[in-house]
Amino acid sequence: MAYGDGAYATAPYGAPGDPPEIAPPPAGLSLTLALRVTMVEAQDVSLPVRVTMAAQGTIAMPLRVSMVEAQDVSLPVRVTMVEPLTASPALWRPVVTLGGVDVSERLTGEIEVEAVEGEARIARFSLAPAPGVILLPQWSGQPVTIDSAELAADGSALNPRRLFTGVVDVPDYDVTAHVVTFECTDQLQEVIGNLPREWVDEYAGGEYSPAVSGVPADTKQYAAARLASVPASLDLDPYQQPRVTFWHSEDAPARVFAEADVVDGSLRLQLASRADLRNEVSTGLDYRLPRLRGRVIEAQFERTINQYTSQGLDIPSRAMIEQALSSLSGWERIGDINYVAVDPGVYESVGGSGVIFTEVRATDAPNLALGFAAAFASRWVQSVTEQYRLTVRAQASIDAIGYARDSLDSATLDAEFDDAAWLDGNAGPALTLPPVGDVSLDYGAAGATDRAAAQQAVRALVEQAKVAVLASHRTTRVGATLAHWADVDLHERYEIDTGPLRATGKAARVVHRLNMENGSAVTEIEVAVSGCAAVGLQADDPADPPTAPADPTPAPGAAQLACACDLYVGQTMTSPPYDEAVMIGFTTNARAGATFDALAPAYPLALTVGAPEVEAAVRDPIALPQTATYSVAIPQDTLEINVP
Amino acid sequence: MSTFGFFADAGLTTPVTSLRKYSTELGDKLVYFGSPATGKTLQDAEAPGTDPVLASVVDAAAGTGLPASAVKLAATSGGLATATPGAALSLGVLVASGTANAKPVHVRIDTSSGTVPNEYTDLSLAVQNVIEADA
Repeated sequence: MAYGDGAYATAPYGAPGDPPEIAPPPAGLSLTLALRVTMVEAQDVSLPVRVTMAAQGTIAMPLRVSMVEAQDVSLPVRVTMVEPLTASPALWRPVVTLGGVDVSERLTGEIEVEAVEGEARIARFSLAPAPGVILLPQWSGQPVTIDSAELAADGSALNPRRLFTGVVDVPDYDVTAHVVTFECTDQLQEVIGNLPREWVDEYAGGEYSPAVSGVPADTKQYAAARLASVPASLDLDPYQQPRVTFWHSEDAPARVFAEADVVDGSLRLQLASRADLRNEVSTGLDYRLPRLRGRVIEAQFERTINQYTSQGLDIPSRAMIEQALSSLSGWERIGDINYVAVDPGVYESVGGSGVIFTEVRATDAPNLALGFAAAFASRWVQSVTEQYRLTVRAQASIDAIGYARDSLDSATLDAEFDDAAWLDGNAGPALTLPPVGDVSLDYGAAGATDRAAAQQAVRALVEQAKVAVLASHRTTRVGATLAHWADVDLHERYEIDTGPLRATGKAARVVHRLNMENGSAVTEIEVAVSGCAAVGLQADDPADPPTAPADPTPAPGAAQLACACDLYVGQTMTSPPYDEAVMIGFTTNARAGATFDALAPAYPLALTVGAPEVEAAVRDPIALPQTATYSVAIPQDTLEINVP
Repeated sequence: MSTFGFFADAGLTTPVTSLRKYSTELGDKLVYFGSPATGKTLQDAEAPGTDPVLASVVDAAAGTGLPASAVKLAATSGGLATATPGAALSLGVLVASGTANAKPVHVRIDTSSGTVPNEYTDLSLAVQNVIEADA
């Protein structure tokens, strides 16, 4: 049986369908599988292997590990709880440290601590030094603390209350009494000088403007600049910590001192002098700025072909037009010249002398124009001075005592500008020019001389003027000597009520005197009483800057925005003599036409264009005054005098 | 010995060894952390360049004295109002030496939980586990 017959014949390789039935070959048959053997010539395939024998080496990266001990930086916090004073202690004792050493046992004479608002706290005390050599200069600058404590039964100090923290300014030795007296200061200037300006910003607040106060060299000047616009005082507390205390507060007095608290004969009243009062304070700001101006004008001229040909006039050449338009002093052409084209041809016109023919050749027409239009721009800088005249007024005081005027130094804010660089196009800002007309832009350096800076200067000036009014109305002082109250200080309001006199105000001066010789301890206090005749409901305006003065210059008229360019024809019966100054435009002569007159004045063939002058109102320096008035309310402290 | 420490002034001229607060004293405290030396840096010891250097409030006697929550720390005085009581203040991943890099640390101490008369010394400000290196 040949391959493909029998049971395998129905299973062609790869044919679809059911798989063939597999059956063993019939007995007696032989199955032959043909083998095809193709003899191919043997080949060699080789891959060369290059082995490079190199000397054995080691690549190493050394690691250096330095063991550094982690560190801790620690600052101990010590909190001392002090019982509030409820009464002046009957028994007291001072605690004075000098250079960190308690020297209380060697105190002699009087300890005096004087605090005046806005000034450095001063302390004086004396020591009887131990026998031996003393080196006075070594005490200069030594830290000093002075506390006033209650005297316990065992002689120790209870509840020490700080009166002073500072340093020795001057030690002085009395060679007769063998006593060293130490004059000490709380270093107000140094402490404020070391403050960050953010502290001043937050606690003092106020309005600050370099144009008004100058550029501060340090925090002291910066603080002074801000405080000038704040009705408050900056000084140090007994612990040498800075604090800002507002002159007025609606809080109840921290303590009321009755007649029994006041040392006999010590009560005193000093009313504000009218000469010291100020109820209208004027100030001002000159804000000088460059007003960058631009103007776009047009130059236009056009006549019909018939207007030229009817009299045999020349037609302007494009070269003549371009030359005329390139000589406008102070103006720069923007864009291309728009020519009114001439169609080539022979134009026939009928005039008094007959028919006139004018031929415009095709080769000439592109070089001629019936007219033209072009735009020109000019830029300049006008110096503008906005003169703000600011007045702060306390009407209630004026009503009571009449005008008491004063003025503060005015300020100047100058927005410097390089005019030449801007005009040369080498510096911004750029102006967006209109198609025709004017544009202007006020320049100021951002944050320094711009309008926001000018407004800030106005705020600072107004607030400073307010403070001047308020300060003058709190120069009334009521003073008394009290039993020693160690916690009386400048940051509180106090009331002194003795019956005949009742006054309330912020402490402006406090002096503690502790006498080691006679055991007396007193506190002198002066309160500043605000008001002084200014009574009633008063308005208090915010220091908002007035609106900037409007630009008073009128919009340019048609004459300011158009160039002069007319047609002047010579050799006509009505032609006046040629006048170069007047005849701005296209000058030519008639050669025909009803009015042709060969004997009439002839004009040169020329084209001139006259640019308008920029009017003085927008070019010359200008001063723009602006006024504003602000009301200030004067706080009313209690001041009652009852004659018994 | 670290050149870094707490100072009374931004110029880093007056080291502060103790922060004293009296209950009758008004206002907050301000100290500066930094080093007056030149070319020094301070970083966290465990993860330098990653973890910040922290000024923290340490209570050496928890449960007695004043709690750490009596102290607020902030980089600005205005930040004290919203600072979390007792929370650490980040001084940055790297603190460089020099006065220009002094870090102000505003401290508000609330003494309302204390009793009078008394003196508490259990609290301290600490910058812990840091390494100082040449820049």
